[in-house]
Amino acid sequence: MPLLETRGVTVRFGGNTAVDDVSLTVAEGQITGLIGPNGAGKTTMFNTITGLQKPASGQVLLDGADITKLPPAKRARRGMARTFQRLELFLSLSVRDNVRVAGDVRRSTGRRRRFDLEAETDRILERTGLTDIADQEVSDIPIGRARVVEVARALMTSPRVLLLDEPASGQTEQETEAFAEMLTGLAADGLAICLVEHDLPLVMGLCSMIHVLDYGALIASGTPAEIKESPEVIAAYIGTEEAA
Amino acid sequence: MKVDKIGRLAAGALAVALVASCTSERSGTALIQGGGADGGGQAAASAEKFGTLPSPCGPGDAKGATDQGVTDDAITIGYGDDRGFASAPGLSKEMGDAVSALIDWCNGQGGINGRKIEGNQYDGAYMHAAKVMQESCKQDFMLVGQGFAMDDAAEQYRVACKLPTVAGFTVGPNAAMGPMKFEAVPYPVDRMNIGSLRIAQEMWSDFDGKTDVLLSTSPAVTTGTNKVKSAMKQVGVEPLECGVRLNDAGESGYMPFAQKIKECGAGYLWSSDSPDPGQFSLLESVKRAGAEPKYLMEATWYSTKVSEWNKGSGAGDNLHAGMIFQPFENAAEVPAVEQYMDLVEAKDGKVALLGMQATSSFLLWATAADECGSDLTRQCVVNELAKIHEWTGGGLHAPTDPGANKPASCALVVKLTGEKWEQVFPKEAGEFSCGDDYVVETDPKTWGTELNDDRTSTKFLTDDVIKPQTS
Amino acid sequence: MTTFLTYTILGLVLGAVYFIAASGLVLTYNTSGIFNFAHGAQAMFGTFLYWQFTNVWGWPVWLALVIVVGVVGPAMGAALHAVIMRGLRGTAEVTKIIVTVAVLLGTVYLAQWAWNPDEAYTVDMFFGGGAKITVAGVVVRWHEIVCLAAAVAIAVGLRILFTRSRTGVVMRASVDDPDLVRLNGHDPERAAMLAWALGSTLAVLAGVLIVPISGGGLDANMLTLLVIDAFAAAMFGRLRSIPRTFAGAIVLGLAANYVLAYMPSAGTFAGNLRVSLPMILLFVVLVVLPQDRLRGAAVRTRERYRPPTVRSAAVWGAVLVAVVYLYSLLLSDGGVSTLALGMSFAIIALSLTVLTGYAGELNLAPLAFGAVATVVAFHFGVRGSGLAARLGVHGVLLGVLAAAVVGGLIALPALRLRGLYLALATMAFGVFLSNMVLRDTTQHELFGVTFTLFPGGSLVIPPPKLGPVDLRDGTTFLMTATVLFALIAIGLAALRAGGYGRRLAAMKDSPAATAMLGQNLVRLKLGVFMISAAIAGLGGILMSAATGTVAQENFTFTVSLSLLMLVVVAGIGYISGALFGGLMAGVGGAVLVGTFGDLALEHEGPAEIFTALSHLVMVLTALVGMGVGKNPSGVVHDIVEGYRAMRGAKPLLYGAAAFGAVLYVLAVTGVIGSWTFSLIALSVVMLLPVVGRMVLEEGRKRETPLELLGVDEPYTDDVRARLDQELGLPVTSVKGEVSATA
Repeated sequence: MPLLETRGVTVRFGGNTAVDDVSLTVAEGQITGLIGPNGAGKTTMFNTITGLQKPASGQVLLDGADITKLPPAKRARRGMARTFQRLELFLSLSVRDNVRVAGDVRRSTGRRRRFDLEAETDRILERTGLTDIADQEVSDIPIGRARVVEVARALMTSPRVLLLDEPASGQTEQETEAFAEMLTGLAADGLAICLVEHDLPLVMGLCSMIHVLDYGALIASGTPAEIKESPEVIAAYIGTEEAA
Repeated sequence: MKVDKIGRLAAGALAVALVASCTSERSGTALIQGGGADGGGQAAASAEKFGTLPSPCGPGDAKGATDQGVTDDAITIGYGDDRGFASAPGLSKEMGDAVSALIDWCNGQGGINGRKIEGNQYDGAYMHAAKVMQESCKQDFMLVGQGFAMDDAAEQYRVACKLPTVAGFTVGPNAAMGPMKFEAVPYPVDRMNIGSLRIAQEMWSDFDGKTDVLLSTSPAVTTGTNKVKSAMKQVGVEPLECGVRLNDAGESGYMPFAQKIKECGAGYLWSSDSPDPGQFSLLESVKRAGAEPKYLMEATWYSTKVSEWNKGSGAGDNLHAGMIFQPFENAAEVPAVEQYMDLVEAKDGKVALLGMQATSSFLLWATAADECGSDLTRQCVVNELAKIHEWTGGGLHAPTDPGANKPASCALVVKLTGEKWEQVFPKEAGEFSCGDDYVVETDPKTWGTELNDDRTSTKFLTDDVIKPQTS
Repeated sequence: MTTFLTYTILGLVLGAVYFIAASGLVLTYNTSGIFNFAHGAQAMFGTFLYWQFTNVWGWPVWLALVIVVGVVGPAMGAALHAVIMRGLRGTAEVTKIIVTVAVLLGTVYLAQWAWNPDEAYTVDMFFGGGAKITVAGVVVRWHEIVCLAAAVAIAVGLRILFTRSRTGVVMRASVDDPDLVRLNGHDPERAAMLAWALGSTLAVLAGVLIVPISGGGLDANMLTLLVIDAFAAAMFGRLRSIPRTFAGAIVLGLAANYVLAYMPSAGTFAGNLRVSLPMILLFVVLVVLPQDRLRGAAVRTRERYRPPTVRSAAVWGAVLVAVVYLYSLLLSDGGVSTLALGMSFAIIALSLTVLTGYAGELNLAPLAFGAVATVVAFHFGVRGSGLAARLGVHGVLLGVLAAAVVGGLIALPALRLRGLYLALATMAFGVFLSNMVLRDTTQHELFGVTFTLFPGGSLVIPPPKLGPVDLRDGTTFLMTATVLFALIAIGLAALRAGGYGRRLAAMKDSPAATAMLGQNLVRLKLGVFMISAAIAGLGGILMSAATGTVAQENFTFTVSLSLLMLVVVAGIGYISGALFGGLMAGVGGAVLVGTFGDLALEHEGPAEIFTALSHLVMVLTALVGMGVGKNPSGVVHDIVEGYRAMRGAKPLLYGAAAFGAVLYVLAVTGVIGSWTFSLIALSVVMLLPVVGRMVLEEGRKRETPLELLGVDEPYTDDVRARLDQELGLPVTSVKGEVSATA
């Protein structure tokens, strides 16, 4: 059974259908890719899964339970975490505090009240390779590393499923390599990861399962090898390149 | 950048020019101008009198630092008003202007028994009455002719430091009934002058059955109207209850209220409110609605603000105000009024009804202080003040009983036509109409404080206050 | 039937008036994202000018109208945009609100200066009040018909502008995405300026139309606040839709008239309720508004604050207590109680620091919570009578508790709302409380208990007695208030440094991301709102006790606004900002105005100048508020940064300290007056960073800016390493590899 599942999710903005009847799954211990041209509805999909956007119809299930009506905070408490494409860091806090505050929330909401906040923060910073800039203001660090801070913050909530919205954009090649390695490690520890990314080689290399969106509709799902061969996907990507 | 700067400069210049052009037109608060020139000569001629009152001021050989604020050659008194109140700049400015003019007048004659008067002028600025009182406690012999709207906030400090006062006016019930407090024109909470109601009954035969009281959401005005309503019932007037209660912060439209008044058929309207733009708008709307009630207002309506307004509008042509003061129009008949106006105008001060009240209080104090001679103490002044039971401030107002803190039992009524005020009752200008039934006792529920057997507020009363000693 | 028709027509006219007022608000909000609190003040100022032109300068009505509506209105709007509003992009919501509040206050002060409020001003109807027609037995004036027609014309015009015209579309887009507008070849600033000019014109037009209808009486405060009633109408259209705003305005106008005509509204309670109607409607509309989507930190706001450590807060708290004590020795009794009053305002200001500075939420009526606490403390906490009366600890605690509970109750329905809407909800509550409680002088009976909420319209609040500490004595009061301020400040610093504070900061920076950490935002907001209300309650009780007797006027909305404005000017993220802002709002303005007033009394010659200066002080405080857009972090931020830079200049600091000590000795011994001392000391504190910077810069070579590295000097490995670090590149990277993943 997949950990995260959507069934027939449709989202409308006014008269426009941004996401049209999308059903997809994200499994435990795997990295699942969600790709598609700009405006395909990837971020809208993330917003719907996390509760920031209400779907017109359809369901979101986490661990088999219907969470469609739950507010974002409750979903987070059930083990959902995400990063944002447009960075949503806490600009008045340092890197360490950005991570630590996730632990503060965890403590205050009753899940695992007792844990060593400092040690946990240090561990996450270490694992994400942020220790060297831990005491800098987040507004001062480069964008590539800021994205890692968002991941670190998300990890601090001890999630079961992690949704990453274009985490590699703005990263240098070295950073991307280290990042990919970290994701593989996290998945190996049992985390379900869903990745929205434009860096296709990265997605193809990391993911065991890929969903492709175009104009709000799911046009293909499968392993990287299957996706590479899919005529719909090729058409969608060539189409956009012509447009661009 | 440069354009910004020039723009800002230009805007600043425009603002300054506007302000200048407006302020220069403002000084015309006085009702009658041009009296200043011959006023000087007259002041010299009547140096020994204020109206009909023999001047309490003059040279003498008083000596000794007999009490706080008193030295061999000076007496320090405090006075003031709320002129610095940000929401209403210049509030009760006429109080300070009057006392300051009177101090000069008195010193011009040599002071009181040769001791010159030094005045500390305070600005209560509405919110800071308590602070002002603490300052005064430290340095003044007495507080004289002052008028602070929030005097109740200052009362506890005054009583605590045993500072006697001859107030210009009092507002709070505890201040009005406080120990060691005298006023030339007392408005005690337990008694009320209803002269204007009595006169109205005499002037208009249908007054009893066709009168309504205008209500306000302002607590202060409500206290006033409650008293008037209960007094009306005592004298046989049954208010119509037309159901008009105005927002004292302003209504977005007054026409519906005017409509109500018209439908209710009110022939006479009483208001305890003071003249403000909202009230003007109501009167204007009543006129537009086609109703023509007569208005009977408090003395505060007798002001240039109202007459200036009515010059353009005419909606106040049926406006009557009951007063126990002589109107300025009677200056020709009443020398004291003329003298007050001359003295204040000579110093570019504001001439208004309350200014006369402050003047009368100053004269009352000076008269008592004069009686004490060289041995000027607070106790002595309090003793002397308590003995005075008939006081007109040299003719400024109807006789009152400051010694017993009782109001006048007389009144006159003035009427507004265009921008002109005129005494309409009694017919003889300068005369008052008096009667024992002009004063009624009020319902203790409306007092706002508790009084002891001496009719003194018990709120801050201690055993250690200066009480009049009869010797 | 005629009665019904009459009230209906009056209601329609009033509705038209509300709509004209609300339409300008909707226009500016839609196009610049700024909710213009000064809209009514602009209307007022324009109307005063109209009065000046027609009544004093004798211009004909048409000419005055053309100049005021055609020239003054647009010019005022364009100037506001050019000088002030344009600088507000990328600032927090509170900054935007405060700037318009400052414009409101400044305009009112200026009008009171130019047009003495002691005189009567009346504006006549067009064609005179006598020009009327009778329809079905109902008299309608031409002016009223003009007003109705104008409302319809404006509604249609704006609707067409927004939906059909290119300019309108650009206007609307320029608030959502100015960059996109720029890309499409339009200038968003020009669109915004046009919108401000148009909005201001509508304001002026509204003023000239409204005032004669209401009866002609013109008053600076009244007209300014009248437009606030129109907020409900604007909110009915969610600040976006013109047709809905129109409908809301008409409903509001009709409701006000029908209530007056057919419901008892003369009783104290009923009358107060009728007066509160627009605010009640505003609150209801706000509460039933659909919830916004969770906001992210899409815009990087320019406000920056450095939170203090608990340790430094404690040290500075001790310093504050010591300084205030030493300073109090210089002051007269009156001065001490004035300072105590200021300190209680500073405590109220702390409630804003935690709410707005830390959590990013807004409360426009902090004093309303002070009023709640005061009323409760008065009824349950006064022991003894006469001069021996004291306010017991239990009274203070009960009052504080009540403020917290009421704060929670008010906030709960409003908490799902965004900053501006929450701010408006608190405003509605503040005005409502002022109308319903602070004017409630009649006896009630509830559950067999008779009580009067606000007997006589004013409450005598005796000095508190906190255990053995009797606050009757002025200095004791001042020191207690100061210690309380310091303790709360240390508490807030601890709160900010801890997990709770971090969660607040997170919520302020990005509500969406905070929710995604599992944080229940409503609970967090509710908690901080209650803490804030409790602090405001404590400050309010102290303020009331320091004043002695309080009435409705002590808690008005305007006082709350000027407090908030001054705290923002000083720096709402800083505890010291609360101290300065609170002192200024509580007593600073009054002291300055009073000083000039006293000078005017003492010197007859230049009296005019001093009087003018005292007016100028009021206008200037508002000007400072308008300038907050240039420096949204506040004045304290600059000073703190200045001193931070001076840590290297130890001799200078020691010198200044020594100078201060000498100055103080001179003041204690009476060689110089306390005024002179205050002025010199203040100047030294303000100027020291400036002097320090000059001294420091002389000794140090200026660092080369990044982009000029290697131009005038050799390009060393060090320089390259620094560049890499600044650009966030891996130090080892070689050129050419970098762009691969971009």
